[in-house]
Amino acid sequence: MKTSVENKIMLGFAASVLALVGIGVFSYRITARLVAAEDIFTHTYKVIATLESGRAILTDAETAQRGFLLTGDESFFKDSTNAQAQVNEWVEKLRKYISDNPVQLQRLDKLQPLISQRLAMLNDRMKLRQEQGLQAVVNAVRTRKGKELMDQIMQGISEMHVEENKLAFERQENVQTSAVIAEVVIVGGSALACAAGLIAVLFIRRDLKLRAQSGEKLRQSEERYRTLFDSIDEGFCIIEMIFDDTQQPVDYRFLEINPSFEKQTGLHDALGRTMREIAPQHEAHWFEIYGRIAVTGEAIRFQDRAEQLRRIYDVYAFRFGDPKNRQVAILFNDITKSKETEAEIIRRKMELEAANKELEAFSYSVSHDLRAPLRHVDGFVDLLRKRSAEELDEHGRRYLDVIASSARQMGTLIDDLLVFSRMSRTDLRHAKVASESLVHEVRNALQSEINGRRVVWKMDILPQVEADAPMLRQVWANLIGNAVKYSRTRDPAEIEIGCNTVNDEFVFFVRDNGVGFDMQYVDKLFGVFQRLHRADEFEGTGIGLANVRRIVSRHGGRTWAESKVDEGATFFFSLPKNPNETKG
Amino acid sequence: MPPLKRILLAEDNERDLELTMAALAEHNLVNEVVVARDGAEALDYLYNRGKFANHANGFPVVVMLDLKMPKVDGLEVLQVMRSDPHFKHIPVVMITSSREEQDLIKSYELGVNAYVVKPVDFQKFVESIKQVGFFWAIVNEPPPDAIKRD
Repeated sequence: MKTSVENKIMLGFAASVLALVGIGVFSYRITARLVAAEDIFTHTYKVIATLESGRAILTDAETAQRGFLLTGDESFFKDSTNAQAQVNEWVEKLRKYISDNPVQLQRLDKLQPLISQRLAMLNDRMKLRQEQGLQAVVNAVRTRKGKELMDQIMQGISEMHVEENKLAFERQENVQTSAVIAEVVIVGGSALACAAGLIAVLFIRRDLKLRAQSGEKLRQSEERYRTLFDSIDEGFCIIEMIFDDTQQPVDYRFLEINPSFEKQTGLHDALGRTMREIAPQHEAHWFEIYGRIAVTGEAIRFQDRAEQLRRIYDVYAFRFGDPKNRQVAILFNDITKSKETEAEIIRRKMELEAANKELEAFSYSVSHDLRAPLRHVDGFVDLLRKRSAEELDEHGRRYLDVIASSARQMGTLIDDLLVFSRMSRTDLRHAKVASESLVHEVRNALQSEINGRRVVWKMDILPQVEADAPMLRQVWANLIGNAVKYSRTRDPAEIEIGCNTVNDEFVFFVRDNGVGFDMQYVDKLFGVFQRLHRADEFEGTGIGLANVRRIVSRHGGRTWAESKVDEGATFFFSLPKNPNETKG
Repeated sequence: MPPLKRILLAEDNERDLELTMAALAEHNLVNEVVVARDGAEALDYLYNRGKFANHANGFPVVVMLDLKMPKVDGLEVLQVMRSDPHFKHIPVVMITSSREEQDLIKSYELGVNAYVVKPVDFQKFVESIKQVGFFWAIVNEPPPDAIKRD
């Protein structure tokens, strides 16, 4: 584009210069021709004038001779002689003037003897007058020879005059044509030159404008990149690799660094210095990597530790510019913190895993070793009772019962606790679960508990959910079981089971008209081994609702409850409609 | 000549052993039981070596194994038995305190015939042992090599 515009401009100028030169040359030549034509023209008129003057001189010579012939006055004689001399001069002058014109010369050659003859005749007549008097001359004149000769001469001069006139006319024509051509060529050529020049100027103007625009664009683009370079948080530098005699990369020099460089490296005044100067202990592999990039041109992304800078970097490096310069551009980020965080996360994860394993080992051991002594207590109490019952009194036997019952209760607590701990350790197996059939199963299982009591069930249609079926069954078993248990004192007991859809959740609830609880203890409800009733009022270990909360929470849902003392309670739990969006 | 021992019971815990024997006594099965105090002894009995070298009891009709025992545990005894053609078919009952899933899975993977959790409640325990002993030692038809009841 640029070159093409330049070419056009050059072409325009060349055309205009060529036109001007052409016009110049042409003008010069035409002017020369005009001048020459003018000269010839002038010359022609000179010739004509000379011819006319010739006629006059001849007439003078004849008139003076005639005077002398008539009067015999010597002054006429003298005049005639003078005129005759002038005639000769005239002939010579004329010959000179027409020397370039052979036709005229030829005419003059014919004319000249006639003139000489006439002049001779004039002199003869005048001599005759002097010697023989007037009468002799009159007789001679009567021969009319002189008049004839003179007429011939005048005729010859006239012919020459006509010829010169013709020439003058022709030359005038020529000059006029040349002048017209010159006019056309000069005006046209100048117009052409002006047009070419104008076009060239227009092109120059346009080009200058374009250049100015592209210059502005370039400046803007440079400014943008500079801003980018200056404001990025990543460190950026351009280095020049330094190799030893064996072509091993041993050091590098900082040619350019951005403002973030210092923050990212903690190095001050690095520009122009080499890395070894700044950090003599900098690991060799850094030089090797950059050296390889400088040599092969292969860009590399890597993470590595710079021990002397006490930092870990994420680096992207690539060869910069001409391979001969062995320069490498490096974009880097101090990732020490995130690496430390990562390490911390890994450490914590390992701790957590260890803790989980410990917990597992613990619960395994609880399951085995803690139950054994309880079994022994109960077992030996039983053996004791069988062997020595009659030796004990009423109190003694009751004590044995208490011991055995306590042991069994502790066994139940341990079993519940193990279930609870297993609840958080075992993986969830999601499947489509029909809530309604689950609830029916649970109700059937509770039939023995209800045992002749009057219970009025009120059940909504329940949706299908995505959940771990055995775990969800446990949730329903706990909630419905509680409702049955705590409405024991009511006749009839009323239990309502339902579901509302709120946003992206199903909110299930179990409502009873039982004894309820005081809302100020609501926070304790879902805690492990937390109970709001004495065991002799309502049996239980206090683990059920803790299990409910844990299972629901593992399904991405929430649990809560509302109640008033003696006015029943409602327990809610929510489950996400689309559990894939939450992690169990 | 002492009666032939038809039940091999491996139990390291003395109290558990006593309770188990008490439970078996209620079904008059005590005389049928030979006791090994850990897994190694159980294997000694099966292979006629160590403490049990030269016993003439033949193969038991059922082996009752406690899961957690010193030296060689119940799962290892089970594994040895299942990989030996001589004992492959002898019924093995795991009797243990644990209801841990991993133990259950391992036991069944190794080919256990029954898995009984010892309840804390002694009456239930007695019931379980009685049932196990009764079923395997009396009701069940043992493999051909085992000692038949007269």
